[in-house]
Order: sequence, then C-alpha cells, then structure tokens
Amino acid sequence: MFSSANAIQVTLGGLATGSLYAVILFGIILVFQVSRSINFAYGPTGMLGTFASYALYSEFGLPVWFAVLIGIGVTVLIAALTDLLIIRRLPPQQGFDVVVTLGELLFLTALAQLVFGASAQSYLKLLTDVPVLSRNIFVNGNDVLAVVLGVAVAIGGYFVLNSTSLGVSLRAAAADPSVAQSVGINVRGLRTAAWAVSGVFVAVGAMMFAARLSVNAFYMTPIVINVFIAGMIGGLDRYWPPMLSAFGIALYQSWAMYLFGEAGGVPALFILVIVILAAVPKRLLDERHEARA
Amino acid sequence: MPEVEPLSSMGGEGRLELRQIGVSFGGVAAVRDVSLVFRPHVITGLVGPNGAGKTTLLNAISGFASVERGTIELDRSELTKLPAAQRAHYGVVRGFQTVRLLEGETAFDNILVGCERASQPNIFAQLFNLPAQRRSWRRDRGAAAEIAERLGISSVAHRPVAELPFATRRLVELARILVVRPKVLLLDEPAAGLNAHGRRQLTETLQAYHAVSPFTMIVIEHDVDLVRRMCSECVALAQGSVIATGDPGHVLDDPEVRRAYFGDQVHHA
Amino acid sequence: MNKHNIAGPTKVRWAEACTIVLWMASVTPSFAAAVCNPDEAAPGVSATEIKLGATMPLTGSAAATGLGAAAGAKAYYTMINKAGGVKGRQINFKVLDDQYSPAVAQQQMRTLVQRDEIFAVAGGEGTPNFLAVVPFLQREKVPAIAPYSPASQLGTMKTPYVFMTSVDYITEFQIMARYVIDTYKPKKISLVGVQGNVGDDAKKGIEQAIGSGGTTLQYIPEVPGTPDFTPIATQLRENNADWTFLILTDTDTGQLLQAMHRIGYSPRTAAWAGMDDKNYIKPFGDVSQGMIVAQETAAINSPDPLVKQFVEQFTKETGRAPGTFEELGWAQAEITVKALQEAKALTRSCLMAALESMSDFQTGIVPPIAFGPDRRQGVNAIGLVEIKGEDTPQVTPFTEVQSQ
Repeated sequence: MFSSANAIQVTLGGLATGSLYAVILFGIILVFQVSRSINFAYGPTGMLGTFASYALYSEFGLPVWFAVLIGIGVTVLIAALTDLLIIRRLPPQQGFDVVVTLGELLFLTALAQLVFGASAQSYLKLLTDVPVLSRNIFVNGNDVLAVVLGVAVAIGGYFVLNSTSLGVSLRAAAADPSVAQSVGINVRGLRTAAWAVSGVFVAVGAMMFAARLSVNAFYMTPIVINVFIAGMIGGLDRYWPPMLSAFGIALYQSWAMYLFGEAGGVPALFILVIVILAAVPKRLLDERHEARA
Repeated sequence: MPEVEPLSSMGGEGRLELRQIGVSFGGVAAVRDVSLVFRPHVITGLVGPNGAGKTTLLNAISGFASVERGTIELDRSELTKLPAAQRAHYGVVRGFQTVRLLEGETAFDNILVGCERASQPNIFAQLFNLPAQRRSWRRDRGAAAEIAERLGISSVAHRPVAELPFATRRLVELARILVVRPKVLLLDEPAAGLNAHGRRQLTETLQAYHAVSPFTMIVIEHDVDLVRRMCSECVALAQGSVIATGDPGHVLDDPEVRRAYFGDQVHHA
Repeated sequence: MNKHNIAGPTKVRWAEACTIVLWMASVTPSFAAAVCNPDEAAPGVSATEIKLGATMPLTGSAAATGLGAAAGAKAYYTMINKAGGVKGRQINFKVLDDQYSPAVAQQQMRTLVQRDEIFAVAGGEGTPNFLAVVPFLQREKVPAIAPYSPASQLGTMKTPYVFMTSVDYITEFQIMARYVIDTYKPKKISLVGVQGNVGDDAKKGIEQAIGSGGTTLQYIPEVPGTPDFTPIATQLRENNADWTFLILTDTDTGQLLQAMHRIGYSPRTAAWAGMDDKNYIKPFGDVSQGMIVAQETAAINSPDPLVKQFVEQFTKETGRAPGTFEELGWAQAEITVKALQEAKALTRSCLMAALESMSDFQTGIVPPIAFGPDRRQGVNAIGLVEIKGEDTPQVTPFTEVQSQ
C-alpha cells in the first residue's frame, strides 16, 4: 500500500533522472544526426570531465563554478579530439566508429582508474543540500535544477535544430555534405563543433548525476546504457520521440523499482524494449542507421 | 519582376579568370593548360564531347576538385587554394549533374539551405533567439518564399522533395542556388532529363532571372539550341583543352568542332 | 565435528552463483585427512622459487577491493623474499584480473593452474568469482588458502581443498543482528542486499537472530549500478524501520544512504565488513555516522602489537599507509607463508597436511586460525565497530565474539 506522498516522491525522482537522461541524449542525437556516428565513449568522456572538476575543487580548492566550467571544458576537448583525431580518419565503411569508440571507452575508463583510483568519491553537492520542499515530499535544489535543465535542453534544442541557421546547416551537413559545401557550409568544422558541443551536454549530465550518486570510473556506464535505450526506442533520427522516451523510461523504471522492488528495475526496462520491438519492429529494421543505433 | 535582394556582401562584378589550369586524376590529365576569362554577367556555354573535361573544369572552379597547376581568380581575389564552402561565400555557386537535394526535407527547407551563403547572426544570437536571429530568420524565409514564387514552385513548397517529379526537383535545386544572388553560377547539364517544354521553361526562367539580377554564368549543355538561345559566349573543350572560343554561332558552326566532337549528339528543341 | 556455518567474509559484488546445485554436485563429496607425501610431483616449485597465484577484481566496480588485497599480499611476499624467502626459495606471486566475473575468473584460473603451473592458490577476493573456480580447483586438487569469499558452500569438507579464514554472511549478520536486537530492541529491521546468495545469506542470518522474537524484517534485493536510488529509499521510508542493514557494494551503500537522507529518512544502519574501509568513509562518512559495521580484520589503529607491526612493515615496503583490503591481503599471504614454512616438504599434500595442523595461529589481523583434518573453516568470529567521525571505534572486540 503506498501513500500519495510516496507516489509523488517516486514520480519526482523519476522526472529528475529522466531530465538528466534527456540532457545527455541531446548530445548523442546531435552527433548522430550530423555525423551518423555513435560515440560509445560518450559516458567516460563525461566522467573524466566530472573527475577533473572534482579534483580542481577538492585538491586545488578552486571555487565550485570555476571547477565545473573547467570540467565541462575538459569534456568538450576530449569530444572534439575524438572527432578530429579518430572519427575523421576512419574509412567510410559503417561500424568502424562503434569499434573505435568502444576502444576509447576502455582507454578512458582505465585512465580514470589509474589517475583517480578505483574507489568512489563523493562529488560536489550542486544543490543536493538545498531543500526546496521538505514535509512529506522531499525535493532539493538539484532535483529542480535537473528538471529545469532537461526541459530547457529539450525545448531549446528543438528550437535550435529547426528555427536557426545553425540547425539548417547541421541538417544539410548530415544529409548531403556536398550540397552543404556548395552553399558555403564548412561541413568538417561543423561536425567537429557538434562533437565538441555534445561534450557540454554529457558533462552537465555527468556532473548532475555525480552530485546525486558519487563519481568513480564506471558510474556513467549504466546511465548511458539507459540513455541509449531511450534513443533506440525513439529513434536517433527523430527528435521528440527519443527525448520524450528519455523522460518516459526514467519514470517507468522508477515506478517499476518502487512497485516490484529495486531488482525489478532492469528487467522491467528490457521487457519494455522487447514489447516495443515486437509492436514497432520497422523502426529498428528499416533504416540502417537506426538499426545500428 | 521584383528584384531579389542581394544577400551576398562580396563586392565585384563577377569577372572569373582561369590561368593555365591543370587537373589530373590518377596521372591522367582531365584538364590541361586551360586559360579563359569569363566576363562579368555573361552567360557562357561550355560544350564538348563526353570526357572533354567540362565537369572537371566546373569542379575545379567551384572547389570540388583540386587544381594541380594554375590559378583561379574572381574579381582579382585568388580562389585557387580555398575550400568549396569558402568559394560559395565568395559567390561561386554550382548545380550538380544529377539533381542533389536533401531528400528528407521539404522543397522549402531545401531552398532555405541556400540562404546559408548569406551572412548569418552569431551563435549567441541564434541560441538565445536575439533580435538579430529573428530578423535574419524572417529574411531567409522571405527570400525562400519569393524565389519559390518566381520559379513557380510555391504550391509544392511544403511537400517532401522525394515526392516531387523530376522537373520540379530541378527547379527546387535551382531555387536553392538562386535564393541568394550568385556572382558566378555554374550549371552542369541543367536541362538533362527534361522534355522540350521543360527545357524551354528552364531557359526562360534563367534568362528572366538573369535579366533582373545579372550574374556570370557558365553552363555545360549538349543541347545546341539551348546554348544558342541562352548564351552569348561559348567555349569548346576536347580532351581537356580549349579548342574554340567565341560566340555560340561561331563555335558551334565550326565544321572541325562539329565533326570531331558532336557527331550525332546534336539536339534540337 | 563442529557444526559450522561456512564462514568467510566476502566483498559483496555481482551476481550470485546461479548454478549452486550443479556446483555442489561437482565438488568432491568426501575427503580423508591429508597425508604428506614428500615424493609426489610438485608443480610450481623449483630450486629457486615457489609459484603462487590468485584471481581478483583489478578492474570494474569491485576493483578497489582486489587492488588493495593484491597490494597487501605482494608487500608481504616482497618482505619475505628480501629475508631469504621460504625454504630458500623466492615466492613468485601472480595475480590475474577476474573483473569480479565468474566467467573471467574461470578463464584466468585455468591460465594460472595449467599454463603458469602455480603450486597453490593464495588469497582471492570476491564470492561469485571465486565460487566459479572451486569445482576446477577441486578436480585439479589445487589447495586454495584463505580466499576472501564468504559463502555457505565453502568451509566444509565438501570443498576440502579450500581453507577458509573468513566468516560467511549468515554468521556475520546473525552476530550483528543479535547485538542490535539485544542492545536497541528495534521493532522493525530492513535489509537491502545484493540479489542472490549474498542477500539471501544476510537475510538468513538476521532471521536466525530474530528467532521467535517480535522484530519484523523487510528485505529488498538490489542490483548494483542503479542510477536512481529514490524508489528504494522511498520503499524503506514507507516501512519506517528503526534499523536498516546493508550488504551492497560500498558505492551503492553510500549512494543509497545519500538518497535516504535526501528524502528525510535516516534510520540507524548496520553493514557488512567492507564499510570500515577509509575509501568508503571518506566519501560517504557524512551519511554513515553511527553505522555498526562487522569487523573481520583488526582496526588499522589497533593497539595489538601484531597489527602495529603489520602497519609498520607495510608502510616500510610500500611507502604508504595500509587500508582494510591491504590488511586482508597481507593476512592471506601471512597464512600462506606460515603453511609453506610448516610443510614437511613442498608438495601439495604436505602443504595441506600443514594447513590441517594449523592451530591457534595468530596474525593479529584476523582472529586466531585453527584448521583440522575435518575442519576447513579456520575462523568463526567477528567483531563490531561503529563509524564515528572518520574513525571506527570498537563496539565489541572480535576475538571475543563467537557465533551462536
């Protein structure tokens, strides 16, 4: 038997988690739509930026906001270099990006373990200690910030992709690089910029999650798996379906864990994926790019 | 016809000069030692048999093929080493031999892509929807609507291009090219695949646009009648080299040119 | 014969061994006392070295524990080698990474036994990964000394080649729950445990402590790596137990406590032995104050002279202070070396005979160890500590607490 207070608590928790999934997913969608690549090192890239901000704050005593900015910068740099040094040099056959970024995932994770150790570290608070509501339903500043970020990114992202010159350029560069070049779009520069910008989103998501959990070399793995599942369900070639899926699966999983026990969360998610595959198989089989996603 | 407001901010008339241009692929010379001057606002036909190097020359001018030797200047600005995207900002715009559109988009959005050649607000203005962003978005959408109207494709503007007939797709590509006034327009067999009516319509549309907003144009065509109707200058290429220049009548009637390179490829409207 | 619950503290990590029945069927059903045969073939022993090996999680979410234990053991062997080794031979100790995965552990153990031809398995860290290699070790008749793998399947004559020195979770949680019930008389207890054997054993232990008393128990199985602890924290808050017992990875423990704290629920807590490690207390100490923690190894700052000696020697060897897992690895190595020294000859049967005759061996780090011809559970006691600030003062000393 559960109370309405608990129901709201579980829903708000799921909403906050889903908001952060949406923030991270936006970066994945951006990179996929511009360069048709899946970056499996996305999670560790955010993890390293988070660790960098943690080190700057706790070891060097830098102010929180500054440490966070530098951490985001580290992630942006790694993401941009991934495109400049790796993805650009790959032969055009499909599948190389998957293999190479998986290798990068292993490398970055091992690097983090080497430099920062294998233990979890308690991250910056990022408003988790600021209560917003605290009677029967407990909401803190980080929850509110997460939802604000998620909604802002979802709506703002749609606006940018559909109502700005930048969005037009991104779509053209993705669809036909020669046409894009013929109208003055610097396709290669734009692609690297998209990779770099995706770093901002995974860094913000990773830091927010670290504030709610902790930071270690592996913490982003289950998070990014869930984000990729949302992208797969909604389709990385689309916008609103995957973004809404990000919110949806977090709420779904939150409720599944509450109703069926914490151990029910992962199986519940996979049951959902199987049901969707059975109901809408064409989504995942028709287009090569989405099948790969 | 109302004048399309020029969005390109580059100065100059559109005088294109090629000096001793050489392009090779795998050791085989596709263009050899070509030196030409294309006068401002003049429509020049580029003729020659298959394999003469016509498309390669257009690729070299637009930056889609690397030049091994020689220089390309537009109004005294050297373009030779510039990438294609930058040349587009200088006003050098091209169409492709097969119609190339963004297949997942509507006709209108395909035309809108052409507005990228115009100056756009900075990233912050775009991200935060500042007045500069709103103004430029309105301007671009207005220009796209206007060119669609001028080319007679307004009624299908919001349909996906994948659904449109071939002739209309060609017009959409043309609209993308013309939405921001070009300085030098390069067209590669624009009439290919069109019937007689389509060819006439295309010629009239281009001439009408050119009359109002003149630009330098180089057009590759096998249709001799189209070349005679539309072009005031003509260049004949063979085996990568120039073999004749002058007015179309002079070049096309040259018996040696006709015998050696046209054979039964002569088309009549 | 003592009726022992199989004991052995384990580092709680991944899934349980889901092939328990098959596993139990594959181990040797009966075993006579080891008879030392000095003439039998001895793989891994030459005139100059003795090869020992173990698999531990060196990467992955359990890496902190494996890396620590490996470092502790290596430091001990280095110290012994500098002093001349054992019976004039240098100890060559090899650790392979099993990533806390049963499948990887099986592969790596094959490599150690068949390719590297180790003489014995010395130490080890983690339950599901070690359990997966036990049938193989039994078939190959390779002795395994002091693995840290608390599991009720080990420590009996059903697995005669495995010599256990760590208490299993049933005993650990029984002792801990008994103390909490006797001292605080809670009406409700919650338990959150890694799904499978690990959580089930902890639950059994608490149920044994409750017996016919009136305390109710809520059990929530957990899967490591969840990104959102709010649902489970909300379930716990709904039950509103006075005490929450925990047997999760250290990261998940800290993250769950943070989530509970954020929704305004802060019961007293009790947890398995991994929580008194400084690598847990440093990041999560603020939400763990007052936590009762089972103690399998002596506190690093214990006044026991043997413990002080360990700290001094470890620091000298490595240049840094030890943590709980380094202490564990050191003890594992110390027990192994003791058995090698006592063995009449360097053959496996003689090693096992030496282990069987080990009686009241004091390391100071773990309770005194005693094996026997029909006894493979060398230790059957734990202590309890409480997290206060960054320290863990003793609540009940481990040498004095016995299982009931």
